[in-house]
This record gives sequence, C-alpha cells and structure tokens, in this order.
Amino acid sequence: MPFIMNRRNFIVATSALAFAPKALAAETHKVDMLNVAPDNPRARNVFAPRLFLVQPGDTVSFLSTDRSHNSASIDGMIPEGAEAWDGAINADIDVTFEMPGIYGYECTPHLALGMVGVVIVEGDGKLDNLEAAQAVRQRGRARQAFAEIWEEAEAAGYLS
Amino acid sequence: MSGFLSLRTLPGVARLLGALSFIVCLTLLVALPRASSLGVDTLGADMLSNDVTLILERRGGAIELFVGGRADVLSTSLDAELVGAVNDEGHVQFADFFSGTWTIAEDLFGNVTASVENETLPAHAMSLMLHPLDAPSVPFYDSVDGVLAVSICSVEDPAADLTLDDNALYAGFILYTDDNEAPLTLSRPMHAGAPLMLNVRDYTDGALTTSYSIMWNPSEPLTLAVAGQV
Repeated sequence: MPFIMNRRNFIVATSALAFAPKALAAETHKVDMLNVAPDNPRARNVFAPRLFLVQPGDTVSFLSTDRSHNSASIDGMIPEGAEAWDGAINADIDVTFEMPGIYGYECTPHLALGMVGVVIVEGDGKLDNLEAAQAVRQRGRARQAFAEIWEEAEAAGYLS
Repeated sequence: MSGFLSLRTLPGVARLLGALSFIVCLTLLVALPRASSLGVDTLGADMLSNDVTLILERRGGAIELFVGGRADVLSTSLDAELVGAVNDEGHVQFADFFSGTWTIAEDLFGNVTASVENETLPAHAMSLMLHPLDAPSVPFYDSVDGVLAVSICSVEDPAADLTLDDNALYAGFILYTDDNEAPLTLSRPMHAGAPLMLNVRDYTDGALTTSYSIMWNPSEPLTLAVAGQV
C-alpha cells in the first residue's frame, strides 16, 4: 500500500521529526566512583566527574570503579516529584533523568568527606529547586565540596 | 645437578638480588626524607603505645583535624562510648559503617569543645574508621593520609569478631573559620576522661609548619598554634 502524504500524515510525520532528534540524542554519561581523583592524588573519595549538565531522557551511569562507594540522591536536593535513588554499595547504578532541575547526590559512607556531586537537567524549570538544594544543611567536607560545585556550575554557565 | 643453587643459576639469582636491593634502597631513599622532614621517628601513628596522633590542616576557610590512636585509649580518654560502633556484646559492627560513621565521630568528640579567638566552633565530624591492630598500619602523616584513614574503603571487613581493644581508631573533623591560622583551643570538661599524650603535626595548605608532643589533661585547655604563635 503506497504511502500518501495527505495533510494528516504530514502533521504526523513532522511531529515525529520534531521529537526524533530528542529521542535519538538521549545519551549515557559515565561517572566513576573513585578512592583517588585521577587528576589530583590529594583528592580522595570522589565522583569523576562530579558535575554534569544533561538533557531530559539522558542517563548517568554511576560505576563502582573502586570499592565501598555508592550513589544516592540527597533529600531536599532533587526537584519535587522527581524519583529519588539509592544505589547499593559496590554496585553500578543507572539513573535516567526525565524532569528538569537540580539533582544533588552523595556517596552514603563518604558524604561528610565531601564525596558528592550534582546533575543539572536542562529544560523548563531547570533552576526551580536551586535555592532549596543550596539551602540543604551539609555535613563535614560536603559543605565545601558543594560550594565548589556551585561555583563550577556558575562558571560553566549551567545556572543561567 | 645437586643443591638448591647451581653455578649456572647463581648469576641470575645474584642479578635478581641486586635488583631487589636497588628497589629497597630506592624505596628507603624516597621514604626517609619524608619521615625526617616531619621530625618524627615513626612512619605513621604508633599503635603499640598509648600515644595519639593529631594532624591539623589549615586550609581554605577551615581547620581540619584528624586524630589517630588505639580505639580503647581514645574512647577512654575522651570519655566516649562510641555508640554505633559496637553492638551489645562489644563487637565492632563493620558492616554498619557503610551507612556513614560521622555520628560515631560526633560521639567521640562529644565532650570536646573547640574554639578559635574565644569563639566556640562546631567540630563537624567527617568520618571515623576502625582498623584492626593486626592489619598493616595505615600511613598517617598529613591530611591526605587522614582522609584515607577515616574512609570506609580503606578497611577489609575482618572475619573474626573484634572489640575496641583490637582496633586502631581514626577520625576526622572540620571546623569552619575565616581565621584558620589562629591558635585552636580544645578543651574537655573537668574530670572527663584521662590524660592523652598527643603527637601533633600542624600543616598550612599542605606544608608542615610544626610538630611536637604534648600532654593533654582533661581539666586543661589545649592550645594548638602554628609555629611562632602562642
């Protein structure tokens, strides 16, 4: 049966084309969970990299490259309605981000040693929970680490 | 051919021994200046004695403290029960450490007050870790070693049940202050705990400024100043 490009089909086809790039562009980003930073031997217990700007639908794979680490979202540091995650120690975990916003995460046993990170998901409402995320009280070195991450995000233009 | 070493194999063994000697010498050459530059006789905390090592790192709007010593000595001297570290039988619960150990570290310093320029600063606990005394000792020279020593990833889970008496304890704290070069005063309430012999190493931005030993009595405030300041 031949395909006839009538008005209805044209709308369907163009709509599909409009959405196709978004679907095709969904990427997977890798984050290593490490005992020592690859570029700085003085920095211990790190996510590498610790800051990502991603598109809705992208996945971040947290890889248990070194032992005794995990990735877990931090209460109060993800958009309202977004799904929290809590990876097991010594296990990889894939997290797909659908909702725009700021996502702060930690390694549970090493949070207070500053093993934290942020994923920023592009889209409408990207910065809606920024203030709330920055207001979360942090333990130990996490306070310094998040201050640095917010600076990095600002410098990279992710917060505008 | 008889005997363990033949004449044919001896030169090869000699070469191997020579190579090993070279590696050992090289290792010593690398390690010795580091130890001597710190002005200490031991390569890390001395877990055979009751001494406690205290490392200060003054950097970036904060003073970090890392303390290392025998767990029984530290818990007794600081009058801390280390709630959460052991179960009702007194056995260390290593598996529970995966959920974070800062609350145990907070308990360790529960009777300690820190101040800078007469302003009391909260000592935010970073982490605490117990290392079995029969395991190879961890290096404990500076804050980098400190972070590793207090990290969960640096300890194998022992097969046998262990008590605090069987372990070394390492804990890290951070005190946020704009005046991180100022003398830091630590104090304990009257009659709490017991005297502690401290081996102090004080760093600023990763550079050792002073190292010394000092007795810390429960009833006396301890002032830790960088070289040249009292």
